[in-house]
Amino acid sequence: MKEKSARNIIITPATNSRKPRRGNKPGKRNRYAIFFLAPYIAGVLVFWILPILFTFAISFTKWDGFNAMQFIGIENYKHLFLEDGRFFKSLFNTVVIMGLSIPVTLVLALIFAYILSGKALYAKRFLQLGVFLPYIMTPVAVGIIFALLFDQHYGFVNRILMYLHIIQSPLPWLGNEWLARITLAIALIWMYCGYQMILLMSGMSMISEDVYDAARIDGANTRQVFFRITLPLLKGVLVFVVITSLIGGFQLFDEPLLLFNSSLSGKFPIGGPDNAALTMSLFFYNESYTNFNFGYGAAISYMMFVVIALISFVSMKIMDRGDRL
Amino acid sequence: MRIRKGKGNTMKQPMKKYFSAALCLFALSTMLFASACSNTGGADSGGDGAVDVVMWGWGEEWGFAFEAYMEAEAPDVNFEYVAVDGDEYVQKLQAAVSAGTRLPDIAALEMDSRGQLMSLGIFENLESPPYGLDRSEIMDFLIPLCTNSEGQVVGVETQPAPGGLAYRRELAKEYLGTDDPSELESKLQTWDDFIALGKEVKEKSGGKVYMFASIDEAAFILTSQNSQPFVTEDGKSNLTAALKGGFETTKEMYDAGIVDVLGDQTPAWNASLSGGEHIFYACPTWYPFYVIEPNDPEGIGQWGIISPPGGGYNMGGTLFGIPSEAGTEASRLEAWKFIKWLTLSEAGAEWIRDNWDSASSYKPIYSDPGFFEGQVNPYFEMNLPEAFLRISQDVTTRPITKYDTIVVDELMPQGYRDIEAGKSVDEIMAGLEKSFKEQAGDLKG
Repeated sequence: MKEKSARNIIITPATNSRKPRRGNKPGKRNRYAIFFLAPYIAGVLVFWILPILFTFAISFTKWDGFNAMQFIGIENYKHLFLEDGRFFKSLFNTVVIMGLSIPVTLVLALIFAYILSGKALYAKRFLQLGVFLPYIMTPVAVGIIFALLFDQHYGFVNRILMYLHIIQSPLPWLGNEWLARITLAIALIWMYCGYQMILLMSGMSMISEDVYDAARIDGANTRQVFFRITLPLLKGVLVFVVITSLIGGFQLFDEPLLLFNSSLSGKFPIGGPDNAALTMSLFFYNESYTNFNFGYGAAISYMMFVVIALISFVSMKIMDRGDRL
Repeated sequence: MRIRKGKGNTMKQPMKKYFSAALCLFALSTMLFASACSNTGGADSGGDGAVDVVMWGWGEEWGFAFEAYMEAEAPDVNFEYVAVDGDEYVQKLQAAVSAGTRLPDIAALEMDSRGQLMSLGIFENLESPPYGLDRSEIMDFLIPLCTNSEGQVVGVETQPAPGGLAYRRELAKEYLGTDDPSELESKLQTWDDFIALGKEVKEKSGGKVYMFASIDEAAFILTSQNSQPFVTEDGKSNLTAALKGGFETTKEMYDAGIVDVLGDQTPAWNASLSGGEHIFYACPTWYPFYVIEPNDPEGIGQWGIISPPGGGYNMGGTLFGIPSEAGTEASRLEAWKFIKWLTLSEAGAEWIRDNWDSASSYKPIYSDPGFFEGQVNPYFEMNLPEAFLRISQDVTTRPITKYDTIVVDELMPQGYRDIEAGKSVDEIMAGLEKSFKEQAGDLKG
């Protein structure tokens, strides 16, 4: 009883003690808030919420963008799941390309960040710039460079590999299903390694020197410092890098499009040989803006949203659990 | 005093704010209204009584053609040429239709995307009033290329693109024994002859000289000589009937080692035109000016053109159509007058011959055997329009369908790559049929 009444005494004044302050009356404050937020809310409604709802609505129609929409119920979703093998293939391709590129990029970025953060390193800035430079290169240029490098007959890569007797005959880097995915993954690693390195370096710079000093006084060697101090304290940045890489991976578009459809690569279907590099975004783009199936494209985009949300949620949960452990 | 003044201010402050907000809203709505007004439909006339005619194109020579028409016929029109990137043409047209903004009176339909556009029902049937096109005036092989699935002629070809084979004279003389076009044609009557001669060339040159530079060219010619439609009239896939034969012959050529592996239209392929290791190239009417001469500027008099084994084929081309929702009835009619002048009149045929060194779609003019007399191209040192006119006599073309983009841009290149990868033709066709059904969801089988 005593406890109960004590609890009442604490709670009651707290809730009742909120007196409206001058100029802060809830009604008036809300009016101002609504007034000042209105343009932003209108923008979000018009450019964000409405398109999302409109896209959902047209995913149940057959619409070419020229003629009137035709309501077809769940036909687009049925075709997507049951008849069109490209959906699962594009999902598979996206996951495989991400699986090939993200871990390697992350490990390389971590190594570069650790090495290039070293204080006594000669030409540190120059080397940092060298690793970062590919990131600021336009995907068009990357597509052209890699199409040239990996050309089966005239590409530099095959020539080097043959010169070193690693291969006997030129490999069809852009013409074979798995080699095409590997080529794309190499291009992505090359492009994004520098960006991830910068993020990790900024994370490393936030770790206090005191921690390192303490570790060294305790007799920790370089390997131990890296695995016991640097890596655990970088977790926040690593989570950010992994999540953004996963989301970026599902939005992979420019690189495969330009690698297999540049003037240097010769003619391929939009998704490369046997659609080996047809990512989900590319699939959506091709259906919507090349074949003018806006209804079907909308259904693809909704499924993309579901997949991205699901994977982001799962990966955040896994990392969150790791944090608690 | 201070307090009262202050009170007075607190009374006026919200009013000022509301007034400012109202003013902003008014300015914003005025701007929106003004911009909406400027986009609705566009002006029908420039205020001088003349009709506005708008053309969207990616080749400025079309604008010059309209200027020539204005000079010749002096129509009472204001002409506006809007340059649109060829790759974004369909998207821009689609955006204009969706937004309800002014569509061009003269729209250009490029070969790859015309099937999709023609199937949408957004173009005027040029055979119906007030246009009154007479299809018997159009060269026969062009009619399927201008006709939609309902049998309506919705455009006219600006520059017909019948294709032959361009050949390097010195290589033909060295390896085939002659550079005379008629002798070559008699040596190459069938593709079997072509393959047999190709094997001899390979042997003579030690495998250094090829008949074609890329597999894409060979396959495109061979599949285009077959006029079987990609889809049957009852909406079923007819891909195997349309492509299989062409792929089989291409594979035979590739396996015989007489076709090089350069990527079509890549820098390596472009360089090969002056490289002296490839005898034949596909060559429609636009190749001499846009492909051969720019890539082999030193090759004056080095090129000849013949009809390929099995006859001519069509490769590319652009037609002019009139969107039904474009401008006004008057502007659409003026657009038609220009199209008719350029593509279906003697004056237009003469202009095309003199300015583009080419032939127009207007069939009656070609009953005059001397129409192209004396028309010698200084680079090729031959009468190009006459050569192509002769080639066009046996060209057959397949009907245009909305599936053309899928087949030509997606499936056929996959087929070429599969041939290079060593797959059997049956295997290739099975894969393409499967992909076709996936991509064209409304096929009935």
